[in-house]
Amino acid sequence: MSARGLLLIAIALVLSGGLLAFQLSRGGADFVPARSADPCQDRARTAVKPDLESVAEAVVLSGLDAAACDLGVTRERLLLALPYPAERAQLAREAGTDEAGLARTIQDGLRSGVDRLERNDQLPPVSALLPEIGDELGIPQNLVNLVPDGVVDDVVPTADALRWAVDQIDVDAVLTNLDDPDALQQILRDALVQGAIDDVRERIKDKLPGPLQGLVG
Amino acid sequence: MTRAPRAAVALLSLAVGIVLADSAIVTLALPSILREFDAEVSQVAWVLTGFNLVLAVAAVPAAKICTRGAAGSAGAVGLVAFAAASAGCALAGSLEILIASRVAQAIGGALVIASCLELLVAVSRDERQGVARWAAAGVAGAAVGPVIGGLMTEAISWQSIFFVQVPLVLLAFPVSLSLRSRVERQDGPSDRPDIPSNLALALLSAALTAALFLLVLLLVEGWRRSPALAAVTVTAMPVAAVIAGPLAMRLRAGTRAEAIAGAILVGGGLACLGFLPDANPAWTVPAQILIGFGLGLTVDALTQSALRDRVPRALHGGWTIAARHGGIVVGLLILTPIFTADLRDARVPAQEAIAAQVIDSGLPASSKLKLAEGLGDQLDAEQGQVPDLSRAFETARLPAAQAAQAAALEVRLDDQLERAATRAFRDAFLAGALLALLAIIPAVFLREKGGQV
Repeated sequence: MSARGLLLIAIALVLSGGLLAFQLSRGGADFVPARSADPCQDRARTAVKPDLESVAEAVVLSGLDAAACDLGVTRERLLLALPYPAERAQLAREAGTDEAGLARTIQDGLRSGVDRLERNDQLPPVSALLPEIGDELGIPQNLVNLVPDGVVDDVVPTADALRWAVDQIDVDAVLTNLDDPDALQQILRDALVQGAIDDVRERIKDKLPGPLQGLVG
Repeated sequence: MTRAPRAAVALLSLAVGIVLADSAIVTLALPSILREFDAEVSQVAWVLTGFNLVLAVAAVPAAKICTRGAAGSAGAVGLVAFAAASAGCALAGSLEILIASRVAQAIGGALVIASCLELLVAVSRDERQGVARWAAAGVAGAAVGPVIGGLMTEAISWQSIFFVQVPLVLLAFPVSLSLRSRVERQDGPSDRPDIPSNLALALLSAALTAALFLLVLLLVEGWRRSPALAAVTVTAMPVAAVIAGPLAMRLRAGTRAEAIAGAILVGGGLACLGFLPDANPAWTVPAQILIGFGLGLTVDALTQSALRDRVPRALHGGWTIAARHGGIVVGLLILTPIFTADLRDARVPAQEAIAAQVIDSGLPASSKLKLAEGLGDQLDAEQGQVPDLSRAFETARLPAAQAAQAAALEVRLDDQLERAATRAFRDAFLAGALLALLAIIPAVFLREKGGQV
């Protein structure tokens, strides 16, 4: 082969290799979908916003992480399988359980999720939720303001109220309504929010001055 | 050359270009055809595969007809058959009729290609020049076909690609008839086909299928860019191929070196398409330039090498067409299952990435639930295709206060889809690169001018 021929081949090699190396240096091998986080590892510890919807969401997501960790799948895989009975059944089979077992794992996961949030100090104090709880109960805001924050927070730790609420969740009802956002919101609100409110109400009732006890039922 | 032969050369070259452009002209129209006939990618791929397979099979028998001095008549019949079949493609009411018309197009096309080699040599009165014109017309047609097809699909419709071919290809009909008496019969023993040249052509054609077919699908279906933008983007390849031709002639490095360097450039360019750093079409241009240079260096040189000092010329021309289009079919048959399987496998990681983005967005839980419902519907509705997630955001009707967050989320979701689509094409591009690099093996055994190996 002539010197010109060898030079042409060398130029082709340099151009091809050079462009490939440049693209790889600019992330060519990493332009792939983001991988799901390990559900067994704690996520970024940011404080949960002090409103009931955010607290409910944090409990559900943390709970899904715990359940996914238990099942050996990603949180996203679990979440995507839940609305579809066939995929849910397959996921349960893969995890060596059945649908009832899956529901129990999710409920246990929700309890573990509350533990995680408490352990990481992410939950707001109940006093921060009190104005919203007052609204739910129909208590005038000026009366809610009479209750000292410290008293409420000492008597009702947020995590305890949430654990009580989680026990009230009907996971089967949640699973059958996953394709209906409005119904799902209603169920979660009834269970988590109303459950937490009931717990708060029971716990603070005895601590309130006599005339106020009647206001919380 | 007088005016009459110049016009004859132009019209015959145009006919060759149109027929060979047809091997890939519908590449950019495939997504439109896919939607119109509600078909799957693997079914629509037969619009390409059917044409190339039949052209590969019919090329040598068509060439044999032309060696018997019947090139003029065979060309005229082929032009009419090709034009009629093109009209059939344009009027096809189902995918089956479209594929059957494409098969008929290929049979007519094989007669056109084989006869035009003889007619171009006859009208050029110089075998080397005639062969060079025939090869150049083929390279030009194959290279610009997808661009023209894409622009016509975007501007008018995919059917227009076939309608416009009817009068254009028939322009060569009177030329073909008038040259009947000028074509000599090529009796006598036939040389054996040039295996290294034809094998290298087949492997490079298979790889170039990856370059055009996959790149266009990535741009239009994977990244959801318009066929017009895709057409403009893939122009880089033919432009580079056209520039490479004269450069190679000036360099005079020899057929073997040109073929090896070309295979390296095509393989390198395809590997680069497998490792794109983001979904900006501009990133595909440098890789396309490498592939275009490779195309310009190899196809012309290998075709001329396959025909050099071999008789009958038409028969060996037929072998090069069979090799090229057989290679395209092999490329489609190898690469289509790879990327369709990868596209299917990309679904779960993409869904999980989308779910993670929605969950971790700063939107309120109620908005996330509404979006999740719409996104789920979109993903279910567009089985086998990359979904358009913007509809989920439209139907969710989130409060105006959340518009900025929703818009940012939509951008992130589209990014995840583009990442998934790009990743899904990687293995097919790398398989194409491997096919191109395999062409180096037969290229090593090519004869240089004068007979040295």
